[in-house]
Amino acid sequence: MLILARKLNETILIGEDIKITVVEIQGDKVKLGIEAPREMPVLREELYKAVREENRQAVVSSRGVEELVRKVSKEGK
Amino acid sequence: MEAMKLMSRRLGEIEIDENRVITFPHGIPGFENDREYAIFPVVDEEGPFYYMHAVSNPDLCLVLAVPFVFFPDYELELPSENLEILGIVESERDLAVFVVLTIPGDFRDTTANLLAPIIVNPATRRGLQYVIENSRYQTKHPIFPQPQTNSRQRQGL
Repeated sequence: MLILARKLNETILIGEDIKITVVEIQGDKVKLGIEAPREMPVLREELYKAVREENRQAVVSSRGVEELVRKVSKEGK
Repeated sequence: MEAMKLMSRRLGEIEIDENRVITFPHGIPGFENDREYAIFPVVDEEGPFYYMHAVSNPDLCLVLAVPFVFFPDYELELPSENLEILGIVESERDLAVFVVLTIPGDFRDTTANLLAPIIVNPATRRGLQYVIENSRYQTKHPIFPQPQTNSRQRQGL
């Protein structure tokens, strides 16, 4: 991993299109401003990991689907 | 209408109308390499449940729900850059919104992932899983009312 030291309002460039700027520093919290091409998703890593984990858990493995469908159609939802 | 065959570990060999095959250009988190999915009703067109089955992975089968049936207040804002993936729509009503269900051994504990809905543009047959930044939603919202036990109440404090 490349490690760069930056001060407030200083920027890192990744390629030509991505700019990351230190916008605010407060205690152990850093606010970063990110400029990237619109089609490039920018996400906090823990969110992405949570969704990845949930998708893996969601792969159908039990007979629960049939029971679920039966229950909901019975209720007329 | 062209029909294609899909191999499913769970459902066996099924015939799918090609119109139901949706391309996810980036895959979905956890399955970045599976980009083509058939999305079709579990029972009939009226039902709130759909299978989302990878076209070339017999093991990859998810169950989706129409969120508004279970969560009438569910709302999301889709940043316009996603339209570059989905293709142009005249109005947001032209997009189909689903949420992924996680169905554990006991189906009464089924949860919906409201944090990352599946958005499909039926006109271009393209889709994506959109992770909503800065939302109050999580990956596990129970779709049925949960019994209020003491231990649950304690956890809520």
